[in-house]
Amino acid sequence: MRREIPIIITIVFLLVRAVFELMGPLYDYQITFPDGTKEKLFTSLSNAVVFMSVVALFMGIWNLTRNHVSNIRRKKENWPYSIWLLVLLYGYAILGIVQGMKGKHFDWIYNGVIVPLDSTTFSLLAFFIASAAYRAFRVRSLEAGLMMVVAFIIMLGNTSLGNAIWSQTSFLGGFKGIRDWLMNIPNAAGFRALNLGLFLGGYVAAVRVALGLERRYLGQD
Amino acid sequence: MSDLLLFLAAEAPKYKWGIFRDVKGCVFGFLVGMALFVLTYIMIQRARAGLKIPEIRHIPGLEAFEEAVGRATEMGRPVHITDYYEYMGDYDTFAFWSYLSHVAKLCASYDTRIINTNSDYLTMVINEEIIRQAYLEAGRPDAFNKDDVRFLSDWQFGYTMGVAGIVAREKPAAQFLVGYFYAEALIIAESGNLVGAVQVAATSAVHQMPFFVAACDYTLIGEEFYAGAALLSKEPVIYGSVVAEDLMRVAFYALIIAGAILATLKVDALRNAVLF
Repeated sequence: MRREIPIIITIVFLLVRAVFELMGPLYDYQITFPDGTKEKLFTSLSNAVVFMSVVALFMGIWNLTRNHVSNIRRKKENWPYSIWLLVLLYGYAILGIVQGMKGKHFDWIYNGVIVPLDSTTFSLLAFFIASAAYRAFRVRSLEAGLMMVVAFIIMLGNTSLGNAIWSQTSFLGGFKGIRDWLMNIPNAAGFRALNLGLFLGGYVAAVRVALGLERRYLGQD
Repeated sequence: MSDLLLFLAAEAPKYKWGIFRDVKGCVFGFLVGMALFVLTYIMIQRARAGLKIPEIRHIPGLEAFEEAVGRATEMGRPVHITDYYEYMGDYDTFAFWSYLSHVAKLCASYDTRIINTNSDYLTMVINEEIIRQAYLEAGRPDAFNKDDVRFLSDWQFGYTMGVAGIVAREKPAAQFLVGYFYAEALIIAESGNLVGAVQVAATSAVHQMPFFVAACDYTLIGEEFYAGAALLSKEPVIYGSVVAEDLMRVAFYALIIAGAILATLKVDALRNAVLF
């Protein structure tokens, strides 16, 4: 029974969601709250899921705290960083509770620390793309060679240098014209084929769950 | 109750066939869904009854999972598995759990340490249970270390740098990037590459596939990600569902060819049916 209950819950909610998404009367059905405001039942159910996720946030905080307290106790390598993490985790949460989401210091830390750190991490991509592309574009096979030629044309089509070498007003629309053709015809066809496969794969994965065949999320084969 | 009465008394909105939502492709989507459901059920029943079902294709990337864990065992280094976009209820997450279960069982049987990093706290709890169960089945419950199942951050780049840091410190010999990823995909894959890990990626994120192909040793792309999740079980019943998927794909190709011919002849019947 320990196994059956989660499977039943999963199947019931999967079917409820599917029926709500498809059936117009259910999708449009509205409920009225005690204060007179109305909301779609579907929206209310979706909000309930968001609420449950927020409650579950405490599990994440507990896991982080447990791991880092353990690091500090055992004096593992780099353990002072664990103190720093816990101070920031709880300090920022307390600051948010005291000052509110629009608090001066709370906002300053967000805009002055988190946003620049985010941008810094994102900017790392440029370097990683270069190193990954170097490995991928080493011409070791016909496919790799083809990919390199296509990538080179796309790059030239995206830059003014490409336009200077072969103008878009000349034969075939220059590098830009070839880039457009590559992106709109072979690339779009490949993407759509992948998306079709993904839809079918995802749908069949959902059917396996609906039929109770997929049990590995319960640790079973 | 009064809400229900008011709703019924109100002017009925327009629904397709009186019940389906008035959005493009709703009825067609429902019919295709039902056909796929029935086909999957038939194939599963045939597989269950031991009847012949069509052969399914081979996915080379799947063997890489065992090879990579074997390599980590030989080197005495851990294995790392992660999925950024792993929300409960998402079918990518169900597929991820299939891979996690497989890798955890391999690690438990080879007595290799497995590290799992998470960006979702709810999924982390289930991941922990899956890994615990794998160690229990392998007869090594004491080898399971719950500190190796870690929640990092639900903030995209907080999670990314957390994973990159763990990869740099723990130096896993094998890294599995399974599920849906965004911009963090390449940063994590390149972090694994820097420590010399064998990397296997399986993703349904179309825009991240080129990055994984460039940075990882093996990549399962598109529906291979879902098919691979089913094939890992080695159960004929689950094979049946993959056969149904392949047959449906053939039907879709036929539909596309028919659509192209009819559109060329300026006949809109099929197009209208699909959009209904």
